[in-house]
Amino acid sequence: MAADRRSSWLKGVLDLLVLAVLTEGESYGYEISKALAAAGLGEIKGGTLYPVLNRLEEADLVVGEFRVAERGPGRRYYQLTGQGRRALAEQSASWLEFHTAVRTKLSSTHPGGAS
Amino acid sequence: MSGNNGDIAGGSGIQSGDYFAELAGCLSAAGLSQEQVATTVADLRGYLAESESTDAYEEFGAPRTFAAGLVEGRVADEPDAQAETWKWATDIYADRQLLNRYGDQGWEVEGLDRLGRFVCRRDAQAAMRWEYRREIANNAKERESVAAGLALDAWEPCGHWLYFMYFKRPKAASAGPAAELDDLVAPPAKQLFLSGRYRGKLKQFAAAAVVSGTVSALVLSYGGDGVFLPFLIASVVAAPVGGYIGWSRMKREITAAEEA
Repeated sequence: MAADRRSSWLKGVLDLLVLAVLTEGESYGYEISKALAAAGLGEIKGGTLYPVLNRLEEADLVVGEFRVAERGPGRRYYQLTGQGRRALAEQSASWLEFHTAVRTKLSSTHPGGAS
Repeated sequence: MSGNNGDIAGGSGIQSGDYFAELAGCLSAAGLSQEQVATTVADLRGYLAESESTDAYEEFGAPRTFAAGLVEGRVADEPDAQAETWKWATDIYADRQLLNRYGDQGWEVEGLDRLGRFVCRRDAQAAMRWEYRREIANNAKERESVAAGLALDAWEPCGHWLYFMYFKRPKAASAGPAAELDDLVAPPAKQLFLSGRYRGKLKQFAAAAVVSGTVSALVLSYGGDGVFLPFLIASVVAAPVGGYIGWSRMKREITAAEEA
């Protein structure tokens, strides 16, 4: 139940989180997934992450480039575009505003929270 | 491309080599080039190897569903000879309803032409359903901001007229496999659709034009030479003021309808 709820929350903000990871520099699928897990967001399956990366690329918010590796099958590296940076800034502000409203409401009804 | 990776996919019991072969088939069928399929599969193989998972099915889900997510929004490199085109026009009171009705029949809006008509295409071999929405933006900066906000939900701009922006996205983005289109309805014969509300406004406008024309003619005929100049000045002032009031009222109505 708790995992389902977290998964549902994540669905609305995963695009932003991926863009946020890419502000630290270019990255590839598994590394992005690891960064999100390290940030406490839980394990993101490839089946969830890759359609998001495709969507961001189609919207010109990130650009992907496949590079052949000396060892292994090669990787597709993703980089944030200028449009992606602007979208991240605007949508982050909207998300934080929403988060603040939720937090304020929940805190006001929580026994240990603010009145 | 699909390789011969014989790893047994844990829980699903499917070998990951079989999984990627099936995925490659789905990606090819969706129109990706051999190179795109090869690099996509190679990247996913690398992901699976690094994650130390042995179950591609568990990591990525059913190949067909996963492939649909990977090709969503990608446009074929070459135009299809089987594609049909259709141009049509409507008014601002019926546009969204009609766009979504014809989007459900596989018509994709590519833009608006100089006459304000929606220019649509439909690929008879690989038609899919589309959904549309309209937003309001007063200038280029607002248009950019609105487009950036909607891009995260896979909405793509497909034209703008005055301060209306139109967006499209494949219905698969919200409905998944249920958005597949099996049977094609024949292209509509009509090219102009006017709503009852718009026709009502046209009648009001025509009646107002007849009344003001008649009054003007009477004033100029019977008012004498001294009336001509003041009447001309009044007309020059009244026309843009009336036009602005009418436009503002319509804009207010539309904005209220958008927010409702």
